[in-house]
Amino acid sequence: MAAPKYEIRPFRPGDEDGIIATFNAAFGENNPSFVPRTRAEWDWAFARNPAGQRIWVAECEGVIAAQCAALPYRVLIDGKQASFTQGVDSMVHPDHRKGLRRPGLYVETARPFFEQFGGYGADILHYGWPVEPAWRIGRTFLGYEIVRTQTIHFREPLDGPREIPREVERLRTFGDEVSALYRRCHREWGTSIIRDAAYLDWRFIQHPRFRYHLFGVRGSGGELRGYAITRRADWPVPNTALVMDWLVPTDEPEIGELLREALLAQARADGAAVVLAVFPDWSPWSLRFQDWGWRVHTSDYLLIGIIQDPRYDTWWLREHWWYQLAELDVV
Amino acid sequence: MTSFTVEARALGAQDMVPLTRGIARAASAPGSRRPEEFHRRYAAAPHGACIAFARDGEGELRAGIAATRQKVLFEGREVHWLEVGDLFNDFGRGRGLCRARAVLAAGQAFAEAFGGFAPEKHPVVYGLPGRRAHRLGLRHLEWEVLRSENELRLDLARLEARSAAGVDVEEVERFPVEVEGCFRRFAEGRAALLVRDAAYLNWRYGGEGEQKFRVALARVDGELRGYAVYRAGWILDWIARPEEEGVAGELLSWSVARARHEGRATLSLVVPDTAPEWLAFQRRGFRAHGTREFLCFRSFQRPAIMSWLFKNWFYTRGDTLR
Repeated sequence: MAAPKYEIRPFRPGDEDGIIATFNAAFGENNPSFVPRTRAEWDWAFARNPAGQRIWVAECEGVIAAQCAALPYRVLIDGKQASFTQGVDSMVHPDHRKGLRRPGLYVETARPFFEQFGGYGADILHYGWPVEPAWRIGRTFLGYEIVRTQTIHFREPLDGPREIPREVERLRTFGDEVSALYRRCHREWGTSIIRDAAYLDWRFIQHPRFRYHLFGVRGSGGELRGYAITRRADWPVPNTALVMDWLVPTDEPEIGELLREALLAQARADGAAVVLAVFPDWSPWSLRFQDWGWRVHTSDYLLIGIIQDPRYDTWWLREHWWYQLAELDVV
Repeated sequence: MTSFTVEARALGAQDMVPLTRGIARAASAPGSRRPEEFHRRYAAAPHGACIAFARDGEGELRAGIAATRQKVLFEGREVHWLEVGDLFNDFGRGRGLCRARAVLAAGQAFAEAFGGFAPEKHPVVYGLPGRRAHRLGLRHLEWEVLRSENELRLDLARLEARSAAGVDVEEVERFPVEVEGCFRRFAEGRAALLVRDAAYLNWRYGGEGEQKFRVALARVDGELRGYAVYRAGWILDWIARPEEEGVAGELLSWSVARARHEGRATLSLVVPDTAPEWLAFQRRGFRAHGTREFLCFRSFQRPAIMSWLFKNWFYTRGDTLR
């Protein structure tokens, strides 16, 4: 039998349904709890992302046999705008996994992806949170480096109010005012995804599958002084309240306390068993959440990066990059 | 292009002078470490040490790597791992990536000579490299990151002291032979950890003067059940079975008293975040803080791949103490 011929190329309109079919075949395989991806979800992630699109595919006789894709994000790094990408949906169709010589179809698809989007002057960082087997492939063939072995903050909501404090508002949308709050917080960070209305509305309000609770606290002049975003999920353990995003100036602990109470109240109302958050280990919020009863636990996840700008390395990122669960697409 | 002659062997007395000079020449702060330190670390190590040197065409030492052999309980067997203490390179010579060629040659020779299956060779090489060594090792010497290290730190002002009846804590100058039995009980159910016998502990924690370590033994009915090693605001080593909370509590109280005596505001330690001690210390008021350290390793024998070591290797700050 003749070896299959693959065309490895950038995404082009019309690939969408083939990509979704391969996604559902690849990730649904042997996974009874798998929920198939919809076109609305694909459009949200790849067509409507305000920061753009990064996709390469391997096509074989009309089938998307493999994909290397990423979600781009606009970031501030050392005060300048640039971009990071999160690797997502790395896949090879089950029918195309056998008989391939190493390094394999995925790696062959990924190499031109990184030639186009990598290198000095392109996306500064390509990051992800793989578990070890995926990490090992990426390290061997694509140059993944570990930024951090990820720890997670856990606590039980315990007994208490199920209503959010009256000073906390349920936000329906984000306006331009959130940019001022972001700039205040970013002063203490070397780099972060830009939290503006375009990003936050896309990430949390337009999401086609998940519904998030958005809590904000305003000052006397109506200005936004902090926000927290949460949702209930069965990841990484069943019945978890995820703190998806936390944006509060570190010198305003009283705003943090109000938002903490809102998170706990929502977790109780949702019947969550634990409340989970992720913080960079240098952040004062990491320590403050511990003071508030969260305990730091290990996890199987590795925050990895392919760093494409020689001015930065994993040591710098570990100490300067503010990130939250918001930066992880699957939640 | 300069070529190098590489030598890899068990460290001998004749290696101490070139090792000390090579490190001093490569260091950004030459002279900051004394020859006695190198002697104690390498020549006096209970299971010996290994070195690899790279010399240029004129016979001058340009780079090297030095490691102590450590006895390890590895899935119930006793083997030896290598703890890299020094990786040095004379970056003052050459330009660009060529400057690293000597250290890469030494590193590769070191791995070929000493890395491999037990008992003849060493299944794991580990260490806490600096930023430049980290970059070189990961890119060119097949090192891997095991963990971005965190420390547990206690604000002494917030400690709630808990005293346990029946536990006697005694400060000693040297570890007694019976400490190995205490260690063996602690090691039950743990798949990988350095063997804490008296020879190892008295070597590792035998410093004098300003660098003197303080050691406390905890006994119950005369039986040694745990110990702690303290220096300068740090619990450097810790053996106490997690279920024996009284022993742990008394050793912690002793450590806190030591720290307070020195006027310290905090007390720190390092244990893996996968160990039961990680959460136990948090329950006693410790908080997790980030560090600048990456614990790195290279594996030469399964099951010691990253995920296995991450879950199964128990270590303390003392295991990588420089």
